[in-house]
Amino acid sequence: MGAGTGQLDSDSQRPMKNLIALLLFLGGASAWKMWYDHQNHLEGLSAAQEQAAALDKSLQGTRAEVKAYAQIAQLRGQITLAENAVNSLRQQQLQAEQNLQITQSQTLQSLAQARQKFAGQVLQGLQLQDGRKLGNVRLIKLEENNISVATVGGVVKFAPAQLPEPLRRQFFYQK
Amino acid sequence: MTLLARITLAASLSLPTCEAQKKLQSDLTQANEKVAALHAEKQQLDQALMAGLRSRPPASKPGQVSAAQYAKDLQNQLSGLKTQAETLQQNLSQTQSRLLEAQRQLEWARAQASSIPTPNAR
Repeated sequence: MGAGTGQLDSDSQRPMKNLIALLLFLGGASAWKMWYDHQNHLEGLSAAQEQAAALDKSLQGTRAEVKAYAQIAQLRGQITLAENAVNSLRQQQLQAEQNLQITQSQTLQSLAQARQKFAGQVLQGLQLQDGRKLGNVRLIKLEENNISVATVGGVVKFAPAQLPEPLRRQFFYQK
Repeated sequence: MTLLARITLAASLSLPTCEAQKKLQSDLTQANEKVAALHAEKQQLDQALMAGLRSRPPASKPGQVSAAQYAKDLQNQLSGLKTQAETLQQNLSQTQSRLLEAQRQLEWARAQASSIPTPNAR
């Protein structure tokens, strides 16, 4: 009776045991798979991180060079603008100098015309700044740097600065 | 059963948790993305570098002058031009002042010339 009951117990537990064994096997297999995947991921991560670090390091020099080229391009633009500004200023300077020359020349011409209107005029008792007394003189020519007068003794030339101040003003040698 | 249970428990404790696995996966994805981004950046940089190299004048090609030195040379050139422009601007201002004064003198001279009667009129 006892042996019969033991046999029955053993037969009824067998499927349960098999199920537990199957579950254990499946658990072990999936655990192994998880561990394997985990290791693979760890290795992959390590390799990717190393690759990224190496790439980053190798790109540092290139980045600096490309940055320098960007700066070069910007500088070139600025240089072009600066060159244009310099050329423009040179042109303006040239033009201003030409205008100045023309204006000065026209001024001299106008003054020469104005002074020449005094030619023929007689000055009584002219005494120059250096002390020379020329007496009565007739103005012949009033130039920018020379004045010619006719005296009793002949033609005398002197610099406009030798004229007394009122005459210098009158003949536009002084404002 | 007891032994099997112990083995199972020990194995499960030594296994990575689900969270750790997810984090590892995320880190790996990020690392791969970073590598891909660096590769893309490298390509862009190489192209930019080639364009930069082509744009350099023959006298300043690599091997003779580095890009940094070339940029420095250009910076000096720009500084020189700016100084030159400043000097020219000052000269121009002076010339324009002189021109203004000369124009005033011309007006005065013309006024004087017209104010004097001609010898015939006298």
